[in-house]
Amino acid sequence: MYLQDLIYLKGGLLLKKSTYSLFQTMYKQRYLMLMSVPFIIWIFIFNFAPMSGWLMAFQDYNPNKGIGGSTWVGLKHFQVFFHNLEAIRAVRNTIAISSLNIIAGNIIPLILALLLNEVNKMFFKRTVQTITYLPHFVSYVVIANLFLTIFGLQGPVNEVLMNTGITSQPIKFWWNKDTFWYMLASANIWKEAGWGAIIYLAAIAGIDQELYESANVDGCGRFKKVLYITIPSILPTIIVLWILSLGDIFNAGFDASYLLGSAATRDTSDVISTYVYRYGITMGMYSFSTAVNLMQIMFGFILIFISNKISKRLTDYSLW
Amino acid sequence: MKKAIGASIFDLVNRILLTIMSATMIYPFIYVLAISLNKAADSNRGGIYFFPRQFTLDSYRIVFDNNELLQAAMVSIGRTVIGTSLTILCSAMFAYVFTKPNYFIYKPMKFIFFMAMFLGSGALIPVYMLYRSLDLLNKFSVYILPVLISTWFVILFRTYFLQLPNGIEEAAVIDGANELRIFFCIIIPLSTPMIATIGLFAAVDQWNAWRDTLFFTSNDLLKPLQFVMMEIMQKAQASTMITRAAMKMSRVGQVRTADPMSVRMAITIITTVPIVLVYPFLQKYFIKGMMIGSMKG
Repeated sequence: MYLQDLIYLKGGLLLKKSTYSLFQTMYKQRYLMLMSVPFIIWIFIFNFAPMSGWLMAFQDYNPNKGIGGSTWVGLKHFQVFFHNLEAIRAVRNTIAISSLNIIAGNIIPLILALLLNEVNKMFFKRTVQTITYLPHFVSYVVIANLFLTIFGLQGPVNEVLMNTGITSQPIKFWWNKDTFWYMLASANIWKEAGWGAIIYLAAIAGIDQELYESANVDGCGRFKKVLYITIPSILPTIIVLWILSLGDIFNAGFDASYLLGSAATRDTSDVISTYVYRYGITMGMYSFSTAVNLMQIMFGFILIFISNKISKRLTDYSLW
Repeated sequence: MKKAIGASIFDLVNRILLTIMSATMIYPFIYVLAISLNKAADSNRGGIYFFPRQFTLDSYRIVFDNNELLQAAMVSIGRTVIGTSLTILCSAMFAYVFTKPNYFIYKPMKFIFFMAMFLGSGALIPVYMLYRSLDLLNKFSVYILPVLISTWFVILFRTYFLQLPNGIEEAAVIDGANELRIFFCIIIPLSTPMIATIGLFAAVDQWNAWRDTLFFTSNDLLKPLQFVMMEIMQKAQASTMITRAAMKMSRVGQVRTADPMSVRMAITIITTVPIVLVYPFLQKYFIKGMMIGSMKG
């Protein structure tokens, strides 16, 4: 409310002055316009303009002719996609990897938060938190570098395993397509566990302390307090996070698969986003790649809608 | 008495578990640091776990003598400094307008914002084509312009601005200050904790970015450190099998002062150090920021 727009009446009542014409308002709010219109234009260019490009999924897109000049082919690329084994494989890998990410990526941070909450030495708690945040801030290139080195053929893990005689040959941790999903999920969880714990810790911090005090009076031990107070109190948070992470099931992350996958593991490491990149930018099959990408985005939208609905029904919490 | 013993055993086990967890988080970095500080020829013998055996700074010397890597470091620093400051400025300014419900296009603006948040940046190839038509490909600006505004940062800033005391702003209005002036002279100075938090997030994003280089540039001069490191890593990974076989063949005698492995480790450390130097000090700020952010989804 603008102070200039108000008339102070005798009774201390505030009233709005008569309304301005559009141009007067625009003039009055010219600084606000200066501070927002460029960004609205920015949104139109960088968020909305690429959407017109979605049309190229239904064309044989030729960059020189543009969307207006290219030939329309209907659903050809979508049909090709569903008959392409490599594409089906990419979808399968995406769902498998992201499911592992979602399941373990929600459980481990929760456990970490519960354990941290039981620590009463502040210094120790703070130190553990600081250390566990580190991998979150480091790029995936560094993470991949660390993991490929530590679990490399000459890395310390293999060295220890061979020195203790557990294996005679170095284990190819990263070049084995059968275990790749689990290795990748472990890397992801290792990276994000500490960061993921923040939100659970916040939820725990919000619990009414009187509940614990009355539990003390009733003679509850620490384990019982966790089981009957902490977990039930943060259950809504847990459920919301689980449901909302369902929307990510078609997003397995480009970085992890691109950096840690190799020719030997292509069978299990290729996900939709690396597939889209390979076909779109490396091979120049623009329309086909966009069709695949479009399907990924659409399924993602549908899942977000569904999971949001479920969340609203179960916990009364929703994104919008 | 029994209960006290149980509790202290639990405390001990808990401490040990958390210590192990932290150790697994930090050990890879220690190992890489040790390798990068060890003589390369000696590292190949194995047996280094925590400390370098034959200390040398050769790998780091190689990195700092290499023009390609220095160029990459300049790109990384440049995009981090320019990108972060512009992202903070633009996101904060936009967020400030979102605290003014009287603004005559407030509602359509909000709708546009939420559409943008929901849609994200969209499919890869259409974005690529857009950058092509905007002539952003192979330009430094491709690192800056597309990230000027982040919907998440706008929400964080807005939430922070809304809980600032109203009185100061009203006083400034009465004194005849316009919104631009209020923003720069009152809001920004009051928002240092939030600026620190978002500055950290944005700077980390810029410093760690390498995908935009992969997708949108083919210019060697525009490669940031992360990208160069990614290339070195991929070469190393592709040749792991080969070098291993070759090493067995020509076992001894070959004394190399440094090999790609220890240089790679040195670059890893160099790209990690700036992050380690910054984030622990902003911890209390970004935890608060995360909480606000998580409330809003």
